Amino acid sequence: MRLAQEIARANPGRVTADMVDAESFMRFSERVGVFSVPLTLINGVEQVVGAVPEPQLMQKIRSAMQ
Amino acid sequence: MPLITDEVAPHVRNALSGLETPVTLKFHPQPGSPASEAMEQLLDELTAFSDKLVVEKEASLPAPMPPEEAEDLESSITEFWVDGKPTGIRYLGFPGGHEFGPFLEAMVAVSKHSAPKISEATRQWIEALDKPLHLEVFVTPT
Repeated sequence: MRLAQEIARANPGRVTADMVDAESFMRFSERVGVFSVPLTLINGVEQVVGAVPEPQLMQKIRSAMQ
Repeated sequence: MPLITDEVAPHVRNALSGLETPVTLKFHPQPGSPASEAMEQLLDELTAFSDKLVVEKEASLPAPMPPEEAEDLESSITEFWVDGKPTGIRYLGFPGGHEFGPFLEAMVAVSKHSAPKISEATRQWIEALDKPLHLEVFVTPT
């Protein structure tokens, strides 16, 4: 969560970082296929399971934004 | 019953003592959601710990942000604003358990305008974005 927030702070006009309480947003969680947390959903198209380091998350972000 | 107990209060006070620029927490409630009610109570309690924390209670939820759909918004959404502008940080639901500490830390970070803790290469790439990036981190607040 912290990494996502730090990325948002670098460009708050373009980036939104949400913490989603999966228990309170159950429909959304089920719809996107959350089976394990933490899970980071990137623009609705890429998923990263677990807490990953910056290079790995950025690789997924670049992929999602191509 | 208060959410911020006497045991936790000193830690909260210490964390929020780091606030510099006032932070506005824009709270969008979702009536009927227990987590929304809990979040409203938490925000009300937090304002007692710092005069640099302002809670604005909005009349309704914001529009869903893709890939969210309107039906997905089952609980409250809380946005962090500083200097009259969104910070890009939002909380959907309640930051319980292990998420509470980072919740407070995020407030202080946006308040201090501290440099994001990311590599220079990442910072440059993110600053150059010309399209929206929506990161949603699903957690279970245990």
